[in-house]
Amino acid sequence: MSIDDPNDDPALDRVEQLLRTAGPPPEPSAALRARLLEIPKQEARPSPTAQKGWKRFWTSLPAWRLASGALALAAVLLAVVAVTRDSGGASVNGQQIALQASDEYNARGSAVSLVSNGTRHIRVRIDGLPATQGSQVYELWIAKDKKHRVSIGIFRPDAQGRIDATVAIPNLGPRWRGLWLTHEQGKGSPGWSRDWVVAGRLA
Amino acid sequence: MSADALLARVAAGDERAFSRLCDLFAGPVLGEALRHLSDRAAAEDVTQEVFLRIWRNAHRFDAERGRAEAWIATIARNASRDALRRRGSVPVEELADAVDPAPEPVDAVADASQALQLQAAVASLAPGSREVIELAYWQGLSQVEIAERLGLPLGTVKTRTRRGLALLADVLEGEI
Repeated sequence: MSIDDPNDDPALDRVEQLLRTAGPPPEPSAALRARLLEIPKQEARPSPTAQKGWKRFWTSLPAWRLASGALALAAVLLAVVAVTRDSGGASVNGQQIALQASDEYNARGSAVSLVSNGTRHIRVRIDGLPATQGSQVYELWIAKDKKHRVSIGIFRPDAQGRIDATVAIPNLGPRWRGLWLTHEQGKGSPGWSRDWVVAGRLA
Repeated sequence: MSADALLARVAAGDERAFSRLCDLFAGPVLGEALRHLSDRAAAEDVTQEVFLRIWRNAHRFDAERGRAEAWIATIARNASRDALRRRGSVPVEELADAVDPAPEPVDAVADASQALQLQAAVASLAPGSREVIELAYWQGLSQVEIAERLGLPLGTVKTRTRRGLALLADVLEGEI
């Protein structure tokens, strides 16, 4: 369409031109929309905007990661305890996952995937981890590829440099098979670092 | 509610605001991904990745440094390019090239995708203006045809068209 009273405003002319060039957006499928709306349910709440003073730490990303990781761990431990104490109606099986260590670290470990009451969990035991300093943490990820990943927990090793934890694995689909432990500097970036420690692949 | 305001609410964990953001931006983001990838399934994966980044990084958006549309456009473009690189020769298992997915707002302004911003801006228009803009520029109807289809006086169609264009120009000011 051409507006029959030509715009005398160059900005409107430019918008008209862009509208014709861009065209309408494609219609997202119902399945895609459902996937998008699952994101807040799969992911913990994003950290709020920065606050001043001592509250800032408690709203910072490392603190949020610690809290969400602790909650996830607590939930899984409760589930595992429940399964251990009463196996009626529950199914548990273990599958070893080989972990490859990065040359940068002298870590070694193993992982076992478990299915409990229809929910997948993974237990990781990793030794030889350097102690974390300041806000540094180790973070466990499930990944579809190097760009698509979901954090499933953050950890600090004990005094012996060991992490021994069981966490739930969100049901993201069969292509989400990568398992990574990275060393995060805790500088506020919610992305993962390049500093990977061990990696494996879920069956 | 503007996209900037929606992002602020998403940063606070508001799932309804996130849903509204999906309404406004899912199509444009999918379109941006399709422009890069030409593969519907891959583009849908990228769209999911973009909204995951939005959910996780909304607190980093600073409205004083650029519009939400530009920030989201940059995330979409970067995610699309990441997907292209993955499809190329970069080994999937390699972490060495992993990068922080969230752009700085200043980069968002500079690299904004015009089409995505414009489509999202159209989606956020009031229904009356949005309808005439879509019919006029994306379905190719004349103003007379629009007036007939919608049962509106021609003058109303012209007014809504001009108002819509002015709002779009305002939203895109400085970005195009």
